Amino acid sequence: MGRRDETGALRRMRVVNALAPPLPRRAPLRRGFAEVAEEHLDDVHRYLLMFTADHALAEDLSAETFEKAFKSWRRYDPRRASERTWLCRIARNVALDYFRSESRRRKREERYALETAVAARMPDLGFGPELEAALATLSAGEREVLALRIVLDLDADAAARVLGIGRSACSMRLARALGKLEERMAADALA
Amino acid sequence: MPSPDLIAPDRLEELLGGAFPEGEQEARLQGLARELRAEAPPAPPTLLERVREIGEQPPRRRRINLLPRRQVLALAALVLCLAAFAGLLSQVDAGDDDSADSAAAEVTVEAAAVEESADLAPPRAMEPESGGVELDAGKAAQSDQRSALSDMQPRFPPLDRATDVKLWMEVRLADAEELSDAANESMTITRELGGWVAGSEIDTQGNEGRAELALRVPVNRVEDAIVRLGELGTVTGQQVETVDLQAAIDRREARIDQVERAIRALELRLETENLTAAQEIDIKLHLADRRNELADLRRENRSDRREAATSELTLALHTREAPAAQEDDEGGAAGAADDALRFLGDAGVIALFLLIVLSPVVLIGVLIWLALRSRTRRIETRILERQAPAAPPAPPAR
Repeated sequence: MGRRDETGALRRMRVVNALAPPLPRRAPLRRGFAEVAEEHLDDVHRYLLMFTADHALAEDLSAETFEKAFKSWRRYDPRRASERTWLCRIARNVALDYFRSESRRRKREERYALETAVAARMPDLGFGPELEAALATLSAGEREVLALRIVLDLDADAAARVLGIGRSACSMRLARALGKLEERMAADALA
Repeated sequence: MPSPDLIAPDRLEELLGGAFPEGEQEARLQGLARELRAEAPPAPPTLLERVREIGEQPPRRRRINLLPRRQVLALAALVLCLAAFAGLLSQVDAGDDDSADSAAAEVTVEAAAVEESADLAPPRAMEPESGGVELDAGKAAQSDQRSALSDMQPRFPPLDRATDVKLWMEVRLADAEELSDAANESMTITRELGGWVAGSEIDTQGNEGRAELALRVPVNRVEDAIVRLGELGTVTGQQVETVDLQAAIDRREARIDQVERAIRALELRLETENLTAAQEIDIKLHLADRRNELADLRRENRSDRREAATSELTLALHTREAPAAQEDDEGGAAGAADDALRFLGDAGVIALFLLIVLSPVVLIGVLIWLALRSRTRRIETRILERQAPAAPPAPPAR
């Protein structure tokens, strides 16, 4: 008797489970901005440092990146991108905006000062001297992809999303940058 | 500088993922990647402090923006669409009127050009009662419409007061043939009611047409006229204008009494009093003025009474479809399908109009957007190609 009741209850439960609508997917729990910012601060700073090749500028742009991120933190959707990818994307836009405005400013100044001697700065990225010298020969775009793919260890899709290009283009850019860097390092070693 | 031997991107991905290197170059690349990862400097403590300050700020309140940019843009687009729609409708209406006018001007068939002057055509008394009975018997099927017309009949002033009644009535007919018949019928009805046709104009073109008849109907038969003329087709409009003439007639009557008394007094003075020649001339002049005034007053009263004796009835006959009536006629699935088709047609016309009007603007907007995007990309590429992005590009080698 008792066994039959138990079987009936189980059967009813299965029927109810089969008929019941699935529970709505819960959005991932969101962490506080301060926690996220501290966790990814090093990554954002490294990326910007590699990109700008300038410590002070990288620090300023990092702070601006987090200010912007804080303002738009409500709009961040974790389903679309990871926090690191989202922050790197903001950092890239902040850096490009800065360089665009800087470029405009410099053009304005050059109109009045034809003879502008711009001393080529040696980047100080905090690496060893050989690596630093080799990195100095790379363009900002090449250093950028190295920062994202190797220093920050983003996967190809995430890096491509940050750069706004396709996955294969991103991989190709990385191969070219890394090959160039390796060649320069090898040449320096031979010298 | 010779270009470096590129490692295949797929192989590079494998190496970065920890695959065992095959060859010296792959080993060097892997070592390079390890070195880059290991030696990457952390963020300075000052930056950490700045970011902590940012993170410790109270959460920003969601700003309640009463007019967000997107909604303003949507509203502007909506207003633009409505304006375009209104403009389109007005254009369509104007186009219809113009085409109708021009067609009527070009091909006007005077089906029954009866131009009679009201003064030259006195009312011919017919036997309205017998005629009316015959017509009613022949149109028993239209009894419903008769009752409906009786319901929508305007309230006329009492017959004992002289009133100038002007009535305008619009009747829709199926086609030009029915329109011609209805025009002839309306003339017959008018004569049967003791009135006359003051003027008529009938234009027909193909299956379409319109007619306007100026009818004079005795004021005591105007209600009959409305009912019988309404039976000719579907009444789509009616307008009545009444002007009370009785007050003016009464005022003139009172003045006539005064003038008659004055004339009698003057005549009495001429007969009884011993007047000098100058006095007699003066009184005779006064008498002549009073008599002229009396004649004028009586003439004006006669004119007003004649005016009040008949009503001016303008009958407009047309074959144009009345949208509201059409909707009432049709119902069910056919009506809904017609409505849907009409709506789709209107929407298509509007869409076409918007496409024609807005396409240059949209095209210019897209071109500007593409140009700006291309310029931004170019600048971005230039920035990324530099070794130090903040520095200007190196001058070209000579």
